[in-house]
Amino acid sequence: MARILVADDAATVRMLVSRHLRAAGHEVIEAEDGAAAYEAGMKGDIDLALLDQLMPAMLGTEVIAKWREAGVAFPVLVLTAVDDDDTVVRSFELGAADYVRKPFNMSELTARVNGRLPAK
Amino acid sequence: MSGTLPWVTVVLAASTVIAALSLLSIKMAHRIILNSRGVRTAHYVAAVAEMIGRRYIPTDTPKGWRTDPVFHDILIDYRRLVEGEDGRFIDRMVEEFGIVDALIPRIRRIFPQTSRLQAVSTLVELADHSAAPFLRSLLDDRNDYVQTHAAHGLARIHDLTAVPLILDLSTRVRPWEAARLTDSLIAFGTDAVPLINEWVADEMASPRPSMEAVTQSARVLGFIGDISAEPLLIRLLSSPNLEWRVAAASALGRVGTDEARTALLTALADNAWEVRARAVRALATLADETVGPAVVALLSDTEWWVRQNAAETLGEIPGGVAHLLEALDSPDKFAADSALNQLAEMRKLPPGRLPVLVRERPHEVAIIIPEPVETRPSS
Amino acid sequence: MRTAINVISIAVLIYFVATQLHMLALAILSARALYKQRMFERFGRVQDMLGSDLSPPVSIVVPAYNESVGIVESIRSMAMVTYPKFEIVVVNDGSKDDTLDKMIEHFKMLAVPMPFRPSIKTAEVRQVYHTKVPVSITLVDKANGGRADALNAGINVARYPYVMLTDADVLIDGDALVNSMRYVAEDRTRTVGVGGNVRPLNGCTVRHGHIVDAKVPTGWLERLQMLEYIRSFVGARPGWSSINSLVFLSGAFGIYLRQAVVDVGGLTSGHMGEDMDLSMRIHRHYRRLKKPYRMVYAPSAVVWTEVPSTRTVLRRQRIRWHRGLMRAIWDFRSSLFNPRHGPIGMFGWPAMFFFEFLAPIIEFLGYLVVPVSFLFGGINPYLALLLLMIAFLAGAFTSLLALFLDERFGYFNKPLEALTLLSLVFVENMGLRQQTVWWRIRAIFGGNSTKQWGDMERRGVANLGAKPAQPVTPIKPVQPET
Repeated sequence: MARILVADDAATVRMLVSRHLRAAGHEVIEAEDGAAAYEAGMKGDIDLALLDQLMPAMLGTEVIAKWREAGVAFPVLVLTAVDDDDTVVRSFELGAADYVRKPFNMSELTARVNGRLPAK
Repeated sequence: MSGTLPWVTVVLAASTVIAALSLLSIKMAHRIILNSRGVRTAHYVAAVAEMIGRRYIPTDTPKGWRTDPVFHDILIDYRRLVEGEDGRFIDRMVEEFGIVDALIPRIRRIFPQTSRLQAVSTLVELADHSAAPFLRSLLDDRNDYVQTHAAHGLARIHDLTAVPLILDLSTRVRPWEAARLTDSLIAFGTDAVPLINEWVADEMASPRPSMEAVTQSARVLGFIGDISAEPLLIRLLSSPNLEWRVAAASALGRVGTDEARTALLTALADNAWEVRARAVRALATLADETVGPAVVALLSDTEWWVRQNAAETLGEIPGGVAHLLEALDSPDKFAADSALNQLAEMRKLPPGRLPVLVRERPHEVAIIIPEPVETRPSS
Repeated sequence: MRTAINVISIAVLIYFVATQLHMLALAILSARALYKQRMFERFGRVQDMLGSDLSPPVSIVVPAYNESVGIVESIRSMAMVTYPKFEIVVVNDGSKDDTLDKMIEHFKMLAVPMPFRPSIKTAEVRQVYHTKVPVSITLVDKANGGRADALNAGINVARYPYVMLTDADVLIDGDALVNSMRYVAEDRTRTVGVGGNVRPLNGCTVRHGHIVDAKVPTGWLERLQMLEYIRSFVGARPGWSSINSLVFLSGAFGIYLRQAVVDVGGLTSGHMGEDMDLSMRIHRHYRRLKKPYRMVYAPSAVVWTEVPSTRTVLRRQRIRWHRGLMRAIWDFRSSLFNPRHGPIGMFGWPAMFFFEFLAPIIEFLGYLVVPVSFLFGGINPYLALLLLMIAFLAGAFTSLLALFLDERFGYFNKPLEALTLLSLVFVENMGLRQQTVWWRIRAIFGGNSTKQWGDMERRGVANLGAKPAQPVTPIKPVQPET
């Protein structure tokens, strides 16, 4: 039972992922763009975040960078269709815990999320 | 004249008022449509998420969903998003809702174009193998957007019999459309390569081969990346046709093996700079000891792009950086310049070798300033 | 005297009818062009182009003079453009504020020994800085030389075969490059220029460098300009482009084949209409060489820019534009009605001369004629009134047509906005437009030299809509140093 932030500008993805996570027993906060995601993360009491890379207002990598600068430390999974190696490497450099490419398997995603959650 | 003026005024006034009112109504209509679409989207997204989650399609879903383009779009979005069990479930949904059957009549109706095109693009994303004959028939459609979409649809359902049909079609359309059509072949993947090879060989043997179709085929073979395309590409690399050589040189960079290396090394001496530029770039992935010196020679090429590519390749092959550093001393100012450019780009310029500001005339700066500084200069 | 008045009246009338007809023709051509383009965008699989080999790389060149307030935000937002391969070249034109330092600090730029060929002569380049994060950004620090000079320096340093010339206070839409470069990809050998759609940024909500909500601006002056921009960029340019008569690409968004710009010697310093000058020179260059070429307009490649919100600044801008136009008309007078210059010579350039340059003079005469003839009894006052009404209505009708065409972009759907737009169409002819006529008359017949560039109070892309935090000192005129 954790608080998870799901950020993606596509409503489809947000709703699908949120629904699955809620069904798995977590509480989900949704964000529509990078700026909203950043602010939600800064507010505190988030346990894990699922970020899309290509979002308006702020890219996923930028959000992670800003969070790390501010000392925010919860695990972040980058979830995206972007396939270039630069973004993957950059995400890991910035401290993303994992990188999931679209299309993905929903149950696998849920399992990975559960695996990354800090033990309470 | 004084008699007609009042009439002119009246007509104008009436037209202006009508225009103003029409504009207002269009804006209102637009707003209503957008709102409705927004509401339906949210509704569908939530509903489909539920269905996927529960693996259950309720029997009481409204009939209107079947023909609603917004619903189709949502299904397409989800289809692209998930794979495996979830993906197959969406296929089931498409079948149960009978969406394909709803789309086909709309496509058969010639008018309005927009609705027809919308239906085609949806069909292409959601259709399964049973739609193959219909999609093949769409390759003969009058509208080139329909043709291109159909080709992509056939690629998605992996109907290999369509490959030669698509290639034939590409010989009859304009260059841009030919490129868009052959793009679809990439999605067929490795299975298409033998078919493409065969088709191109036949085309080249025919009395009037289509230049564009062969060029695009070569390009596509490069993208698919299967090495069985190599013999054909090597053959194209020595063709008298410039476009074919250019396309082949690019493609061999992706597809080539040691066999290609020899052909590419020969291509470095091609008359056309476009070929040289691409051949030298292609060698970056196929390098062995013989490649280095050959590429270094191209640093002195007359064409800037060739020099640029040669330097870039040297930056990537083993031992290439040493060649670049040597080239800094070259008596050929262009070779030195290209090497300089590339080493600066890679941040590998040795400190003692940094260029000095050369001011030839007051407004001309030949090369830029000295030491890279870590701190910014004081203003 | 009476005959003189009658002759002038008839001349004005004929001119007026010609103007309306030409605008109507353009509206029809534009409608057709916009429809075709919309079809292509929805069904032509443009997004595929992004993944394939076919997207030619672009260098975005941004001249900056005293842009400290908004330069970082602006470049950050430019970096978020969706396009496979592009770079940004910012040229610091000897700014007197901390533009340079702000850029270096925020993007963590390093001074590099970047060799380049000064194909176009410019003022002295002092140092080049570079960074690869978030995209490849090159910062050129040079001695002051004016906007044209700064752009030329940027073009020298630019690496890619296509350059996009823009300004520092411009917000580039995420899809702008894809939507414009596809015209290049479509016809690589012939396309030498692509112009984009410029919309006013005033009144829009901007968050982190993105347009969140496009709204009708609040000031009447800004609203007037918005209508003008729509008439031009939506109601006219698509039409011109479709008959290959696009005279010039906007200064806020012009993509050119880099080699073409170099071949014609770059932009001209000290010219108030340097963009028009550049385009016409390129047209001429290709006509002389008898090489097939085309300059097109991309309606859905959108950039947003701040338009003047005070009378003073707007006046200076209009005077500058008209002076620039005047000089260009003179420089390229040989193109007028010259069949060897193709559709530009036969349609585009003459239209620029008659309907843009001469317009204020004839409109002014028109306004004079009515009261004068009324005083001298040469015309029935009732008829005169009718004529005025016709002029008024025709103007409104043309604007409405343009707004119709603009519907395809889907802005301004709220009821209040729609009503504001409608009222604007009528109010425009009740004084706002006449004001610009007067300014342009002044531009032609005298007035002081106004060579400013960068004379707008910068509020920065991030702060638009809000009052500036501290008062920004007006920029002093720039004299290009020789």
